[in-house]
Amino acid sequence: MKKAFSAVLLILLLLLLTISSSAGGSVNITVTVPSEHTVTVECGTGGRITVSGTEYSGTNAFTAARFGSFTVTAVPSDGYVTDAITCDSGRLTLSENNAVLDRVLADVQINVTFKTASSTTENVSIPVTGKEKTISAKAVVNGDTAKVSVDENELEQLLSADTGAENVTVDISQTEADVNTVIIPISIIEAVALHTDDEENGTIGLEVLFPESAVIFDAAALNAISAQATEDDVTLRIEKIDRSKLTDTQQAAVDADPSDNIIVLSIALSSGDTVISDFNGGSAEIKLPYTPAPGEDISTISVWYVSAGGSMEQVQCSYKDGFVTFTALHFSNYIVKSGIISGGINPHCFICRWCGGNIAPWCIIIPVLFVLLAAGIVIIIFIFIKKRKNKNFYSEWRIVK
Amino acid sequence: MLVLIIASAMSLPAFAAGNSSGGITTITTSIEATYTVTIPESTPITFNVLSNPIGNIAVTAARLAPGEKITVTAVTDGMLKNDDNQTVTIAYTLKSGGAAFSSSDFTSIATKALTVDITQEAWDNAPAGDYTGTITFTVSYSGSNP
Repeated sequence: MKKAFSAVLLILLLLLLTISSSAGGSVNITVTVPSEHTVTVECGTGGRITVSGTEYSGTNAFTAARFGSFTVTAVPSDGYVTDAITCDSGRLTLSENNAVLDRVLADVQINVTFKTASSTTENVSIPVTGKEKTISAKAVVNGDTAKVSVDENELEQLLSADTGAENVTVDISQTEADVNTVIIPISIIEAVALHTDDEENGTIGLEVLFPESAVIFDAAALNAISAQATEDDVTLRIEKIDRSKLTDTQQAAVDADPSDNIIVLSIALSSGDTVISDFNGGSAEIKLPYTPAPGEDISTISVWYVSAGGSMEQVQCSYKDGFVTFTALHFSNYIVKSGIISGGINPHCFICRWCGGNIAPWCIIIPVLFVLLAAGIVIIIFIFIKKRKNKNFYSEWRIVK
Repeated sequence: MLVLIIASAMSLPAFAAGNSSGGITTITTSIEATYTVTIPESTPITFNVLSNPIGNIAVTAARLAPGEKITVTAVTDGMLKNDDNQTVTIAYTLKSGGAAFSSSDFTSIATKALTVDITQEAWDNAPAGDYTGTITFTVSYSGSNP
């Protein structure tokens, strides 16, 4: 009996042992997603970067709103080109020297690096016709810039001879690079200017031949340039540019033009930091290739100077053998186009010439008014004549009656 | 913990002098099961980190009966909710050793590291703000044959 009781007790106790015990608790996981992120831009040597129109060098940190965009522009120094723009997040949209981070999602770092532009040394010759005397000047080409150097003694000998040539020519057109900028020693400018003053010499100007254009300075322009130069050389740059590089007012004026084929030219001359734009009565002849569009009327090709304020002034030009030639009294931005332009003169429209331009919409309204006026006069005359006839008829009728 | 001591009394039968006899005495005792389990504390995680350590589940000083085990369970809805707008959420997964964690059995001293994993896509789409998620841990002790 006792054994049985003990066994039952043991079983009950075992049952109690199998009852589970439990415990626990809750924990919170928290996080803060920031509303702004830091964009660190590291700019290498050989250039600078711009953010929101301000230039920076070295390493700079910027703040960008979460989900916003961030744009950085590389500005290579002279003799350098942009090598790479990279981002550790890998979400950059690249376009030439521009990099756009479309959606800022975290702190990121952007690296901008530059490299030296390809540099080649080429010998260019300054040909002189007549006695076929030629001297060789050296040109160091870096990217789109050619820096010319010449032996001054050789240059003097060249210019002292009876060349019979009209212009002394600096010919960069045969380089492999797409040169649009030439750095010319002031000694060449001064020497040619001096000899253009000598009527017996026959030299009348300095011609600079680019791969895609040519500039000819007359004697007065050369003297003006020589007088304004502040450094040992002058920099001449002529290039076709996108209209987006114009000022806002200039761009608005060009955008208002309905022509499809518009070439925007930027022509600049400087000596160090001094911009030379006044030729003191002299001029520079510009010649550049122009390919008319299919069906384009080449007789309507025109050249316009675009002022900083957006006004446009037509300059005389000619088109021959695939080249447009015009004379510039100063350097700035110009457009080459064809057809009638708004706010300007169609040289073949007598109304425009009569009105003096800048009123192109009236080129349509005025002829219409003339037609209406003429029609009105005809109608009045007709009515008058008819009334006179009727008056005579009734008079006769009364007499008859 | 339950502590139980079982004792039973036995009586030895008496025999006439001159004869020898014997008996069996059973001695019993019980050693109580003891264990300690720690779970992670409430913790902040770092923005834009894909795998955030949040602490360990640790079983220490475990003395369990044969066949018995400790079970730790984690329950969560897998969402960090914006404190200002509960409908704005960041999805996460509670993991241990790279695999999703919901429960684990322990029969001896052991540690399991836990992480809160959030995909890069979830981080990229998360609006700015403060977020909170809750994980509920339950610790149970049971035998294998109840």
